[in-house]
Amino acid sequence: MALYDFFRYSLVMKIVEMRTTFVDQWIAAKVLKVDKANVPLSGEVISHSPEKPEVYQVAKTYLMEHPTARLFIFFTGDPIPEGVEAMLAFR
Amino acid sequence: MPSASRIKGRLAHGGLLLIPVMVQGQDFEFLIDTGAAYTALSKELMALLGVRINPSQTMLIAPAQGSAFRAPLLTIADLRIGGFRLPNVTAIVLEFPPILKIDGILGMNVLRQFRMTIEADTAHLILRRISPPAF
Repeated sequence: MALYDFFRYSLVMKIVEMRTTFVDQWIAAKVLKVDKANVPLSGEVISHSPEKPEVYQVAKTYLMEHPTARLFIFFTGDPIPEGVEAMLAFR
Repeated sequence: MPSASRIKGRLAHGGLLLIPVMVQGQDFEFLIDTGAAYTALSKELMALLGVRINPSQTMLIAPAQGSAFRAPLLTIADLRIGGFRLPNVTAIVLEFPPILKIDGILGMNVLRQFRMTIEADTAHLILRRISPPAF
């Protein structure tokens, strides 16, 4: 297996593994497997970074090159930092 | 299309439920907010999907605290959740503070279309299609 292939392979993982591997980071992953409810279960990490704009930029470029790809973009950690409370309600 | 769907999400921040939602072919994690009348999407998400915002279409938003403001209003052609496809979903576009790591909020304009159960202990959202009334 070439080093590039090994590296690629190593970035294929379950979504739950991405959450523990890339703690408190934004992830863009190409969806490879879903469950019965069409929820992503595993994928290939395309980009990961604590910086959201960086991940979105990579995702945008990837989708331009692979327009039929299905990506899952998410934050691995708590969406609201400890010690912060959000009042999200709006009517 | 299924009559019911059991969607695995995750709990965060003391009980908030986050659920994967597909918007125009791409998946994101949205916060379930039964206190929000409308679904909201981040500006970054809209830009990624190439959705143009019409500056003349806005909605006046009165937050729980602070001044009312106008937010762009648009229609999402294709929103999917748990195998259900919802065409033409009205949503507002918000600039979430960077401290909040979310891309969207699933509000009652989507959730009210289902009989909904939140399993807080298992982090699942269960949606059952509401049957049309029999005449």
